[in-house]
Amino acid sequence: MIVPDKNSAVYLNRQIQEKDVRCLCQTGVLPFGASLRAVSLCRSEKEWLRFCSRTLFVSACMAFGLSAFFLAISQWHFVYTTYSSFFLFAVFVACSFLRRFAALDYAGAVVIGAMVFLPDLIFGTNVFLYKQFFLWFFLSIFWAVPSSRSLIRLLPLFLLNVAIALYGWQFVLPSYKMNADTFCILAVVLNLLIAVSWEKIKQKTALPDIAFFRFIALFLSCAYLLAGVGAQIFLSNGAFAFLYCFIFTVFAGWFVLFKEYDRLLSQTLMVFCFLWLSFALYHVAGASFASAEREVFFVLESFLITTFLILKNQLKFGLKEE
Amino acid sequence: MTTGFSIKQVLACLNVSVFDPVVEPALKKACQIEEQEAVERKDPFSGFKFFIGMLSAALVCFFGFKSVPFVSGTLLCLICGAALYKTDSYAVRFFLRTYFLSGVFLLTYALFLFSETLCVFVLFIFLFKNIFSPGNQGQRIVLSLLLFICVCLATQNVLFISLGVFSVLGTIGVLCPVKNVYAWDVGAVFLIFPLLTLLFLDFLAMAQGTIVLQNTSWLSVFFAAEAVILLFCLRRDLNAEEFFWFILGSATLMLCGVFLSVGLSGSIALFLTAFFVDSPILRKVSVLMFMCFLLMFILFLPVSLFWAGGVFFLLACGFMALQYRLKQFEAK
Repeated sequence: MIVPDKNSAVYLNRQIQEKDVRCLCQTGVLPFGASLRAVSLCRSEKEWLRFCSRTLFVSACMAFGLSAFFLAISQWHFVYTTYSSFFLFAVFVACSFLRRFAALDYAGAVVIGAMVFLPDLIFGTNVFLYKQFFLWFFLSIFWAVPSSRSLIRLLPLFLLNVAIALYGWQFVLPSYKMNADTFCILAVVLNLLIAVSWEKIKQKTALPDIAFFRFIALFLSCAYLLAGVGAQIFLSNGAFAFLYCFIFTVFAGWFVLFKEYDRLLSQTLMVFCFLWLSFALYHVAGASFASAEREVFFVLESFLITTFLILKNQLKFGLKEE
Repeated sequence: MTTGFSIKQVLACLNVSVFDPVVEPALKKACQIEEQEAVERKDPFSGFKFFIGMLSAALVCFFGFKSVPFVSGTLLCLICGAALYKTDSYAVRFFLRTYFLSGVFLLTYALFLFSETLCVFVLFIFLFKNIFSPGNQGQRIVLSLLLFICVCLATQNVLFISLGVFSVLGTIGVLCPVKNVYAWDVGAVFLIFPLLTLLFLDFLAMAQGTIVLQNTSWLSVFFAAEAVILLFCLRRDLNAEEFFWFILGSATLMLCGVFLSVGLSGSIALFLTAFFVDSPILRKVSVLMFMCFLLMFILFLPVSLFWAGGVFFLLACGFMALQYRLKQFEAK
């Protein structure tokens, strides 16, 4: 009789997993054909039932959503009648009274937007889209303030940024009042001002924190900067004017404004730095290697991906960790 | 995902004695493999995310050097391969492995352009050699992916038969782990990627506005064969009634594939395999594939938008009813 040694004893006393069954079959501990029996001993039926139950719930929600979408599209002609405004108003009143339910709280915020867009659909007012989004942003503040859900409270910030983006797209840029870079910088400054103001107000008052607020504000700032860089490179073929602005804003936001270590924020900023550097590489490849622009860009981009993966692992950011 | 049994308890339930002198060397080997995997996990660049990142970087570099595949592939493989032997730093090794992989992609592409059959044969030899050594999981996955892609490109006229054969081979690899053959990863790749290819082709057909693919009914035969293979593996543990229901289920799977959607029957077959091997990866992939194929199937139906909404509504009600029934079953 052979007694297992210390390492084998530790291995044998470990809780079994499905990859251990595979290993036991592949090494010959378990005979051929015994793998399914071994797996049946370590499979947790309760876990499978929970997984199936969760999946069915998520699938049902998605199916209800798709059903509502297709039914709404198929009855779209109803929207062009005045009865739709009464219907939406009735839905809004119901959502207001029952907003303690999450689905109706979110639905109420969407219905406000629908009521803003409805007059244009019914009467054909041809109003600019950005004006409608500005109005929706203003009305959503009254809906968001009493809400306890972070997503509802973040909605005005999203709508404001959509309105600003549409304002730039539909009015500022076509009328040549300013170029894309300047517009994006102003949008970034506005978002950073909102983020800083919110931090100051939160410190001085007893207002509850909104989860992900500063993350979303910085995310949107980076998105505008990226859009400005993209517009400069692809539309106007400009120089690296954005380089210093981007680096300054990102690191200023990082070190000066947000002194606490935030893993999600730092990873998101890395993603934006990666995207911005990809734009810069495209510019370099196009400017320096006209005939082999695409090939040089791909090779440089692969270096960038590898470098970022290595830096992600190796770099220790100089921020305080809680 | 487990019931809390230890390895010792499971072996005892299956009448495998750990004191048996025949079992002792195999047990030592299992411990050595476990220790080797623990050492590999110490590499900060091991893990699924870094593997995907490495693949992405290698693919992007491949597209950069695609115009000169043989020269660039040879240089990359030689330089990076030689440097890998000299360095101990994890970061440098990760960097070199990425460009070695890119070199492998380029050489495979060059060989494929020269001769498709030779390329498939060489890849098969390398993969066959690799499945007999326990480590190098990443190498096996990459080689099996390359083999799958090359075979699919080389057999475009009979693509569905190739996909079916890969699915069946994948099922055998996953359900029947054999002594000294480390092919589970290869089996998983061969199980998942045919369904992904089908989904991609379905999506292309939808984007181009064409009707569903032709000659896909062959695939439903292969997916039904997967269920039969599963039945064969479970034959000693099923009674006559369960055997009958399994045969009926396989036939239903085949008919579902022929008359409804091949992808649906394939993902159901994958889900069954995932259940019997208790694999979380295969489980999640099968459910995701099933939802995608179901969505494609409904979108391909020749009905109006209103009736499409109605179908989704009925489906949602069906899912809620099933979930309610499952909860009752769980409570028992």
